[in-house]
Amino acid sequence: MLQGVKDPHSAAHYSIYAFNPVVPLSALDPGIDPFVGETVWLEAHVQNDLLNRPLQGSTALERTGLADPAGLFVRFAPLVVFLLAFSAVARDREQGTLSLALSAAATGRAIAAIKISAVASVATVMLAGALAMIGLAGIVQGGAAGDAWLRVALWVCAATGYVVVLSVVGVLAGLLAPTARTGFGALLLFWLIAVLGALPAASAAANRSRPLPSFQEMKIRLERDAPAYWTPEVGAERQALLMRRYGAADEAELDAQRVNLRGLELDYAERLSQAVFDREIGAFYRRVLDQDRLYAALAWLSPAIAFDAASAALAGTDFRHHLAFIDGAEQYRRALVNRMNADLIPNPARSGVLHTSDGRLWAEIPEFAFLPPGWHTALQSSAGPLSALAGWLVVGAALAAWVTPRLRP
Amino acid sequence: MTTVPFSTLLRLELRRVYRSGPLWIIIVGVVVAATLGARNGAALHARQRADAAAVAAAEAAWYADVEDRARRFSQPSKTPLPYWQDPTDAAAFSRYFLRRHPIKPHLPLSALAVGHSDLQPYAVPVRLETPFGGDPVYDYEHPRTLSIGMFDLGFVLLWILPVGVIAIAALAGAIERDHGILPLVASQPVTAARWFAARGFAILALVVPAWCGTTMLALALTGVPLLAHVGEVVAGVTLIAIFAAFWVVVTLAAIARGAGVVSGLATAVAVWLTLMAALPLAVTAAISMAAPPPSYERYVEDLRNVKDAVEGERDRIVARAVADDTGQRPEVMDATRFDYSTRLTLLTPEIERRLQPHQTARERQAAISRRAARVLKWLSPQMAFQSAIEDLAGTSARRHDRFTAAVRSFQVELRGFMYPRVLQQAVAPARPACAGCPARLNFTDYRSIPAFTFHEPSARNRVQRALVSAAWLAAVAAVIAAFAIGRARWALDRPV
Repeated sequence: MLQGVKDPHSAAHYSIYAFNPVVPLSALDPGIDPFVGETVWLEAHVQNDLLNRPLQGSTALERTGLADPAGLFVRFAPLVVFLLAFSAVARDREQGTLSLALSAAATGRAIAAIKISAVASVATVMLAGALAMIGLAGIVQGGAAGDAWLRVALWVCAATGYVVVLSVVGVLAGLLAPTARTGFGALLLFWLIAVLGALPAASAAANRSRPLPSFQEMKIRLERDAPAYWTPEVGAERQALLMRRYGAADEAELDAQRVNLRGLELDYAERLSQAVFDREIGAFYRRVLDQDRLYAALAWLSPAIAFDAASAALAGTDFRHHLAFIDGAEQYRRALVNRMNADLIPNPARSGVLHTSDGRLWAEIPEFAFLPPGWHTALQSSAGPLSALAGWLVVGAALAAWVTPRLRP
Repeated sequence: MTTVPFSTLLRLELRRVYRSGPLWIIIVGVVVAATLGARNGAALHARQRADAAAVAAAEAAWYADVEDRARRFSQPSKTPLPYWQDPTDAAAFSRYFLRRHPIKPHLPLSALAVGHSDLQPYAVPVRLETPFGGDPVYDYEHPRTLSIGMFDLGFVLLWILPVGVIAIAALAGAIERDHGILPLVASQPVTAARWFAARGFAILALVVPAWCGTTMLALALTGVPLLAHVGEVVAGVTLIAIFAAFWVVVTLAAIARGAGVVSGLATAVAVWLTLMAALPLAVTAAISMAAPPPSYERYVEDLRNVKDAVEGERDRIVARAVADDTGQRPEVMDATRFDYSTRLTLLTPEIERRLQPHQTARERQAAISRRAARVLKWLSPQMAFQSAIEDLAGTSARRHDRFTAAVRSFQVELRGFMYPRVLQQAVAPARPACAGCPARLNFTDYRSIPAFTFHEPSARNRVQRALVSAAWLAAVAAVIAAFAIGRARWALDRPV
């Protein structure tokens, strides 16, 4: 708005920086936010990469010590739950009260159900409840709308589901293992494989099955097919084509029709490059989404993957939410640049003086206002992982129902 | 009372430890994980090497095209050639045609740990007008993978190896307690220190070769030429051996007081979690509170303001810069006749000068963070090991910092090469070398443009640094081992 009087194409280069707003639940689960750019310069000719990835220049310490409550929860909550479950079951075993209870009226199923409920309740309040407070603090601080409340409610449901699955695993291991040593060893192994190893392994598997195209080669193709600066030969070809469209033999005839050849050429190049960006960058990001879909599908292999995939989606910090910002910013850039070119086209240079515009044109461009996707997008992204988590719950309940009646004093 | 010789004890302990089925299951699991991890890391670096080669090839093709254009435009022609399309004009070349992509090559043992190589760029385009170095680019790895962490050999060594070692040491170390035969052991003609040391040595004799062999096997399977880099390989193996030994003694210390497997496991895992997650988390939180990173929003705002201000004073700054260089008086200089590219060469240093406070603040914050990481390295064996293997692999943040500094120096060198040529042409334009040719032909010496070279410490230096970390880890492990033996003696005097 305050650019003063200038060439509209210069204004399109000056343009704006768009900032991706921080979502209220990013304090709960920063998801991919520390690893993607938070701002983008929207200028003519190029769809720039997002700038300033918070952890780009980090040390090993900063990367390891990233404050990621959901990440810590998904990795280390199992240890807490297993310790709770183990102490609940092992103490009874060691003191002989478990045998006593089993030989009395109580059934194995009832004992297991009570212990699972107790462990899950304590762990949910202790872990998921505490983390939900972080989310709520983010909402209150950010003055977020009902959308965020719904998201945090869904997140708590997912976290509770995860804790319940872990409680079932922990209590059953404690009840069924022949010795305390075996039971704890099995739980540690479960944590190592199904949680600690499963997350990066599933991520690696998704990446390997749907490999991303080479980013550098894509950049090379973009420079080749949509160069910001073209050769005089290419320029001459384009000018000839554009003049033909207007039935003009040379630039003077276009001027006479009050058509600016430079404006036409810039507009032509811009639209050409937009098609290239859609083809190259669009395909690249579609593949990233494919990888996410596959990662979410692997949620059936581990409840940790299920919760991890659902958590970032519910917090609004997964790639789908990020892509919405990228797309929103790019649509804004295109509208802005196209509008600047549209102002140039009917205004040829007069006596060698280039056309300029002023605040009246700049005022036509609306402010960049990005509205992050709503809860329905979150639900769409997390439906798969949440179904898997529900599946884990069903499997856990069925297993408990099947094995616990066989418990003998 | 007759004392059993240590060798006999060790033989008995070895036989018992090697017969344990669960231990072999853990070892096989680690071998599989390490092999897969090394393959993932090697695949990432192979892709990056291929991409770097593609970037270098594209740059070579670009210069071939530039030379071709220069030849074409050097023929008499009536076709007008705007200056920004003319690669033979020094100013235009400096802005629109100069391309250099410094590349950070991977080191031979890069598969050892992906470290920061998935996050930080390995090829950085350098333009003259970018403030303070190369363009802020990155290669796109899926951010989810960056967030979760890569399943590479480094992950296996840092996360799985300690837990595996802890499990093995606890399972093998506390069997007497769990079977209730600790008092029986205490009544044998064996001193506590001897028995416990034999047990420790037996576990070490299983774990250390297993972990070192696994790593070597995993690296060899990914095609790392181990024999060509013996020094680095030996340093890596030494580090891994001592790191594994460290976790064995930590676990033995946890069970030395006569605790059972569960208690020993829980204590050792808690120690590991404290070192692996809690300590870095606490220190990072403390740093971000004590020295919060400068706001990027503020930087962007100031960048815009500075550029606007410099643009507003453009002619005065250009006139003064030219006057400084040529000895002419600024007031007689007609700065309006310079093209955009020429102006840019004179305005960029001024923009950098005005943005220097931001750069200084960023560097200060980074220095604090690096200092904290260096201190923590000596407090946390986990961090010491992580930074040592990333150093050996050449994937550390420290190496990237060195690369970034080298890129900045290279940018300054490129400016030193191009700016005088641009200014010379602006102040005293050469006569057209070819009458009737559209090309200006005042700069065609493309092959003399400086090329980037990355000077970095030798392999010997990396090995020395790794061995210093290994010595530190060994010292800490020795202290804990002495503590464990002392504790075992105490515990066996008072059997549980």
